[in-house]
Amino acid sequence: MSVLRNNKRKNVVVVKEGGLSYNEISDLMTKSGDKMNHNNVRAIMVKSFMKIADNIGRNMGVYHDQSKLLQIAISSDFQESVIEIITDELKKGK
Amino acid sequence: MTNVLSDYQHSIKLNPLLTREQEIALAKKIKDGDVEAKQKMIESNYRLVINLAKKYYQNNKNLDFSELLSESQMGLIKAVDRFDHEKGFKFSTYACWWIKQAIMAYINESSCLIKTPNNNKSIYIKAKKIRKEYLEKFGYIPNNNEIADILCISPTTLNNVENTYVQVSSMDEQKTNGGTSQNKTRALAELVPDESNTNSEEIMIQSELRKLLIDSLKLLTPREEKILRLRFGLYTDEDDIQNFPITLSELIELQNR
Repeated sequence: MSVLRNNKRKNVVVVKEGGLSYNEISDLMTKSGDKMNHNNVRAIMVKSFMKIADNIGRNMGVYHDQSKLLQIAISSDFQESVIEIITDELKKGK
Repeated sequence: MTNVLSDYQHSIKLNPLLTREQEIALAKKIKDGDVEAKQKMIESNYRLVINLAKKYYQNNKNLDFSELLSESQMGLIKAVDRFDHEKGFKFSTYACWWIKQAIMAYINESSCLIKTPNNNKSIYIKAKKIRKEYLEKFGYIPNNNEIADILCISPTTLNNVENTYVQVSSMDEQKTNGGTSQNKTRALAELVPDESNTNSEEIMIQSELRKLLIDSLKLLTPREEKILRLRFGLYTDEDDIQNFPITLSELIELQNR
């Protein structure tokens, strides 16, 4: 179980309470029939953020190449803001 | 300033400084009700009025010098009325305090929008002076209780006095904006941003971005969505196995590992 970390370093997304580590996620996914390791989990996560960044960019008329998208996807600021908006939406939906 | 002074300088030329004997003679006449003697005494002491007014004007340039001069003159007139030559002091020694008092009263009245008693101003100045002296001598600033002890007043009084002398600005006060010469001054009210009213354009952009992001989330496959939810603990229902394939009991189990 990942815990709240005292985030002194930059470019590190603090996993909120209730979030899981890559290993824990890979265990769970493997149990539910989708075999993967922690590396795959990270790759899927980064790919998801790349998809989001790409779609937002395209809609705003900005086209980024893959390396730029990767840079955006792994940036802690981007990840944190996406998660914040999703959390807000989930709260609204409740 | 020069125009105001020229009137005074003319009467200064006509009225040279008084000797001790002349002062006493005039004081006696004033006591008997001689108006001319009073006028002579006033005009002969204009130098003192100008000197003191100039001295205070140096530190309070925002004040009107002619007003300051007239107030000082009022102090001089008061001093002439109350001067008692029998006590043995020179007139200038006595008048000096009355002029200073009149100047200080005027400065106090015009430096702050809120009118406060004159003794409050003197307490405020003394406290400021003590702080400065302590900082220079001992390298620390005494607290309000210590200052109140030194001034022989209660700490509450000192606190009240200090709270009175906060910087107050009028919303209609004209401020320079650093723009073109035509648009140089503006009322303070025009320059203060209204923080309660957020920019509508900003709100629109934010909501647009939000919508875009929500749309982008729809592009994710169920697998990707599951991993994101697990990674960041995003769930609406604890038993929502479909979107969040972990129940509360499993979560506790993981925590205990």
